[in-house]
Amino acid sequence: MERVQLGEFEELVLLICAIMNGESYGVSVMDEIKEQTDRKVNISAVHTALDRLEKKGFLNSSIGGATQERGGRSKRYFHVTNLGIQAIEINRQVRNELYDKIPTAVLKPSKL
Amino acid sequence: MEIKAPKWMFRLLRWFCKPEYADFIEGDLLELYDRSEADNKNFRNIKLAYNMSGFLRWRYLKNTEDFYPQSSIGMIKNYFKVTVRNISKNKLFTSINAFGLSLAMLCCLLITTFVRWEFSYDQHLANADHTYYVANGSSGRWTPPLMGSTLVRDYPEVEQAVRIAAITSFVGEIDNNMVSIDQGLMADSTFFEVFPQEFIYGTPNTALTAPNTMVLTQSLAENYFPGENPLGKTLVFEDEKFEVKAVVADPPGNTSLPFKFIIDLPRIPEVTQGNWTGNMFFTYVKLSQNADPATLEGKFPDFVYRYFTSDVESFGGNIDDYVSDRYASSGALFSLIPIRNIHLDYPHLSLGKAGKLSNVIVISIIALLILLVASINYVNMTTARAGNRLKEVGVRKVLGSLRSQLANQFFMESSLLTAIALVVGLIGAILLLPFFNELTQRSFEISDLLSLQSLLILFGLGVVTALFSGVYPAVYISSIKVINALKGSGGVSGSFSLRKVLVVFQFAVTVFLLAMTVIVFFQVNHMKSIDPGINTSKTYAVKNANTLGIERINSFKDELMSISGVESVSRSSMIPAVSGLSDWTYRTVEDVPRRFGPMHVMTDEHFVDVLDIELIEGRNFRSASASDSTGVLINETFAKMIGGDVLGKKLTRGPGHNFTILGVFKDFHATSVKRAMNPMIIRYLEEGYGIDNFLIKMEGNVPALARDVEKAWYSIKDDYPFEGIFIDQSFENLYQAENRFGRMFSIFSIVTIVISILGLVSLVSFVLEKKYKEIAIRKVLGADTTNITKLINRDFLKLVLFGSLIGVPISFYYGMTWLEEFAERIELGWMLLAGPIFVVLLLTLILVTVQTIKVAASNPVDALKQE
Repeated sequence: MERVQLGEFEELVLLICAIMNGESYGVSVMDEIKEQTDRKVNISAVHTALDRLEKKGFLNSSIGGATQERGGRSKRYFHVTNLGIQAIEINRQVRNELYDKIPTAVLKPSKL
Repeated sequence: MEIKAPKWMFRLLRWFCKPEYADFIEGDLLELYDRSEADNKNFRNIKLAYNMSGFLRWRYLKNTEDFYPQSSIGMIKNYFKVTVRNISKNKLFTSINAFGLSLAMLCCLLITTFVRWEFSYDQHLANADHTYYVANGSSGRWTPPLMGSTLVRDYPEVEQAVRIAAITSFVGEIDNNMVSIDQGLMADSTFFEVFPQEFIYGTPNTALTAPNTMVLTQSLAENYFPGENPLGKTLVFEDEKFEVKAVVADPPGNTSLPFKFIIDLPRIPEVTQGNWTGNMFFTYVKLSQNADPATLEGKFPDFVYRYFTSDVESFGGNIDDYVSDRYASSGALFSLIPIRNIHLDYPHLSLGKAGKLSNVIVISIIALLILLVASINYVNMTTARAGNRLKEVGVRKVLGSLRSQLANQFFMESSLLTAIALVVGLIGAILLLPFFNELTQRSFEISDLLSLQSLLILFGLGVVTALFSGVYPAVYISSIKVINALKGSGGVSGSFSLRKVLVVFQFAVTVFLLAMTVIVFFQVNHMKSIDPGINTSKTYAVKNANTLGIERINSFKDELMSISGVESVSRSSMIPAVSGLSDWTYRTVEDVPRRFGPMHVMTDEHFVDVLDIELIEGRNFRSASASDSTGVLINETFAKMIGGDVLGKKLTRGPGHNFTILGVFKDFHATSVKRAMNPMIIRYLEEGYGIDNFLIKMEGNVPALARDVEKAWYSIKDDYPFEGIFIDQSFENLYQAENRFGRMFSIFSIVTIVISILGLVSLVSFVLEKKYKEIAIRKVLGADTTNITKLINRDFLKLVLFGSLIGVPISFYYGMTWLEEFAERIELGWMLLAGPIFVVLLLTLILVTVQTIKVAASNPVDALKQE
């Protein structure tokens, strides 16, 4: 099992991108995070996380989708790479394994 | 494609943001802006600005690929390796650099220790921040006996006061041995309330409360009573018995109130009552924590009117005149001076070593200058040698190193060098400590050098130096273009002009220090050569004649006169250039009396003979004449101040104290020629006025005669140590402080010269390397060694000359300021200041020529061959 170096916020952004399946760019990811987790994040934080994920190889970017609201500027779309999917899988596995090892007594405190 | 948002904000974004990101960021920002259409305009803009500000990160900023911080331990290891390799390749230059920097660190360390010490005086005193010296006028030393206790009684903010008188020699017997102790105090029992001490034996409340009690310091007690508790012992001093009541810890060296012992004040009327116009004691007061000294000073006029009036009037004066006189002559009635300011601002009030704020400041500045000069050397040498690093830098850049990494490499080099310099400097400072102690007249120990504060300061200096020395090479070298670097074409000559500026600065500093040395040297010489106006050669002074007692004084005098070789003997209250001068007030007897405060000497009719004083008007005292006991002699300056024909005029010190002017003598210096000539008055001696010295004029074998005098003393008094000194050297001794000042400058000049020479040498060698080909071509075209040497010399001499021309006016200005203190001063002529310039130019000429000749004599073929 390899280790994956991902910050908490980065992992969140990665998961959201996976969910959005190719429709993810700066603003849309920000909106999706708000909707899925009720968490308000700054646009720059999202951009930075996306950029870092790309540099780490978990995302790929492509250009497209200029609209009028954007003053004609195109968007940078992010797709999850195979490496990214692997990372998601590994993290999920690790979390689950750890979760399974928690003694029941801790998870369900008995009522006194 | 409209943009409804403010255009300027996006222009700002475009300005700082990397173009590859800019578009997408703009797009997103516009989208968000669009959404907020509902809000009012200002709010939208603020939101936009907020969103935009989040992108102010290294990641998005233009042109910062190189400075994105990335170094880690691995890189540091590599830097270190490369640095060490560089050092071994350039052993000579590294050592020169290191040596220069070490010298600078050494100076800085020593000077920091000194400066810290000077500023630390009296810090240890428990209540130092609300303890004050009561000064007469604005800074007079002595105050009336009842001043302290009355202040305490009348003003609640004055918590306690103490009167102190200094004892310079205390002679007595311990265990049947005659001992003489200096540096003692007479003090009230309140001493320990104002100046709390650490008690080894005894308690503050019993220490000085009874009559004839004595307090010893620990080292004194150890010295005379090793290992015992001296409490309760009785010691006999000055023919009185004292009981040792306490032993306290030694006061530290940095105090304005050092002492080896304390005795109580005698309970005589002069002390317990005294006279409000008689100023005999040093008074210190402790105010309550929050008291404002200025408020208390405001109450002084009232105080003076209340207490001084009766005594002033008993001397025939008028209290209003007294007060206005005081204001006129000293600007205040009394002043409260915080204890901590005494050492540096009011050194004459200190009983310890005197300090001088201006000296401390000057020496600090010099230390910084030296450090600056050494760092400049380093910068110069490194950038000059940069040519050798071209290939290394080029390859590194090709392999992808960031500018920041290259810069770090250079910082590592300067840091390592600074670290070495620090260590070497520290060792050097330890070794040179005794010499430094002698120069500054202090006694520093190694532990002072190594104290935490000093080391911290040194470390801070090191960091600053490393940064400062490293920054220019770092920034500059890491910016060269790769292609030029690898091609090897000398793209790195770079700001030769900056280097020139640095050299000019170095020499400006050098010339300044040299010129100051010359000025001080000449001034001291001048002072030594001024004729003081009296003849002190073969003149011997015997002190403490008062201990002989009135009956035996005259027999001692007869004994002296009977020694063959003794020409004349005089009793005197003062010894020229040594001690005994005071100023007493005399008023003229006329319709509107004028007050004068001439220097006052009491002596007999032989004084004029012994010192060869020239009388220009009137006559000397006549021993037998009764009326002459109220006669006085005055000097020219005083006569001029009185005006007119002074012979026969009268001077008075109050009813019944009238004096007639018998003669006028030529001005002479009784003390340092530093000060202008003061009026002087010589009165015929009256017993009881402290005429404690014998001045003896000798002829012939003077050392033998001195021994005879000593024998004569012991034949009359065998229980008091004889103290005799020759006063022909005394005037020279007065200038010790100035001598040391000059020596300080000369030493620092040498240090700076050495460092500047090192810098010059390396710069010259660099220039020669660069011009290697040029010189070869010139040779081929017919120039000979002389021409080439002249050529190179011209450039450097210009720089040095320019630097000197900057340094000279500064030394002129500072020299003039320093000389203002002296009444007798030298003229700052052109010759004086041209000397240093000449020396520096000559030095440059020699250095440059020596190096140039070597190159100029080489075979031009070697230079022009293609490699």
